[in-house]
Amino acid sequence: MDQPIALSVRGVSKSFKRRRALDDVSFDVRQGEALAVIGENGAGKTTLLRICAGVLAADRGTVARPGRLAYCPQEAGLIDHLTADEHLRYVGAGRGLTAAEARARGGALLEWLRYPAGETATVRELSTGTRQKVNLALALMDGGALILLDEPYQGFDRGTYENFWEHVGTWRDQGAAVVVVTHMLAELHRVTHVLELRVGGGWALDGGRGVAA
Amino acid sequence: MNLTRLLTVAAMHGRDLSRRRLALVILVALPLVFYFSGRMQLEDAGTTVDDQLWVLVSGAMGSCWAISVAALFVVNGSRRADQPLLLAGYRAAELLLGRVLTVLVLAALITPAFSVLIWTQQDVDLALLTMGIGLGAVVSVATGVLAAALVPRDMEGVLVVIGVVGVQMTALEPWMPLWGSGELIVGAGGVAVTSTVPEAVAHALVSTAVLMAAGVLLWVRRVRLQRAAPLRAATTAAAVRDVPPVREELAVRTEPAVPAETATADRRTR
Repeated sequence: MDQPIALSVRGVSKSFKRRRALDDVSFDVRQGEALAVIGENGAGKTTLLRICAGVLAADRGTVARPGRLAYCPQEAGLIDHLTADEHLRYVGAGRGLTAAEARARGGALLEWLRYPAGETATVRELSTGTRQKVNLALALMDGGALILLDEPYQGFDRGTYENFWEHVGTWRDQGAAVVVVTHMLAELHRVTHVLELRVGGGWALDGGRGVAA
Repeated sequence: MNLTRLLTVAAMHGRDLSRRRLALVILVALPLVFYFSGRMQLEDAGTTVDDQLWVLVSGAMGSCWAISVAALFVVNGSRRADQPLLLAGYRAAELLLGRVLTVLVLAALITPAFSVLIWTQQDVDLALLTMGIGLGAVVSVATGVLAAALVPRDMEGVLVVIGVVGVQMTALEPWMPLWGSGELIVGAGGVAVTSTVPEAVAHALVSTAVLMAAGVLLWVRRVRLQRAAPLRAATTAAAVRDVPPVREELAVRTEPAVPAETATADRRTR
């Protein structure tokens, strides 16, 4: 029996001034599935993920998604002069967590991501990869049926990178739908569907334009 | 509006601001530079009432400019975090008002000290001066919020604040937001003004409300999340969609990456 749909995109188009980024894109992702979004630079991958997350409006089309989701943007949404621990408490409070709950939940994610134990530096003092670990941990704090990740492993060391892709499988096994924007074509065997975007708005799902449902 | 979330926002941005030491030094130094540069010119040019008044107003407006810029930076400085925080469950109003609270606390620490400093240098009514500079700071916070909502980048925002406050340093008219606090400051210097204290206070409060309302509306519009369609309806739509034929060149490129049984079973074509 088919799993419930966790993300449904229908006829989404988006242009920036005269440049068309997305043209009538449609696809579904069910719980337990992983979709990789690939394409050249400027093909609209980040734009599509932002529309899916609800942080950018499409010109046309609809997106159906759960009320709560995990979204890890490509550009880390961090506040320069706060520590990772303060970020956990800040984001955790939004989700109704106490400081102790936020630390416990976020701390486990940071440990999984091999974030340096006992690190008390503000995020502006961290390396790109370490900042990205904080960014990813904050996005995943809520879990949720839908996980949207925009090249979340940038700057990761090799071990954490491999660990990340293994976890994509774990999240699927746990029933989450995962959408990953990636340039890492060698990892596409780990996903159930591939959406290729092309500069100018063209797209193809699993090799042909269609709806996975 | 959740008080815990509001206070968390204020506390976190308070920590963020307190670690920007250079920015804080400039924030405190700027009105002092405005004021004492005026005092130095005053000693050269004599001590007419107009001179005294000019120094007083320029120092007070310097503090307004500094508070406006602080508000601009606190609101705009975390703009990349705004939408992730909304996705985390915050309401836009909680994020904005929490940050406003941070700047108001900062203003409450700076402005009384600045008023006392001026009082030690000039013959002024301390209570009226403190009220005038304090209300000027409140109006300035709202000015900074509106500037942040109008222009998302710091540099353009600073230029907007320079323009808005700078114009009011040279000529204060009743239609300008800082006119009410300016009347109190001028009155504190012993010069007769056209308005009463309640009128000046009311003017400052109304100006704050108007600027803040405009700032909140514009900012919320900028950061708001898009509404999603219901998932159940989308499931039905999938079955009736027209799908153009497969393009072979793309099929070759992505085929090895996708397990064949999954791709075949999951794609519905007509």
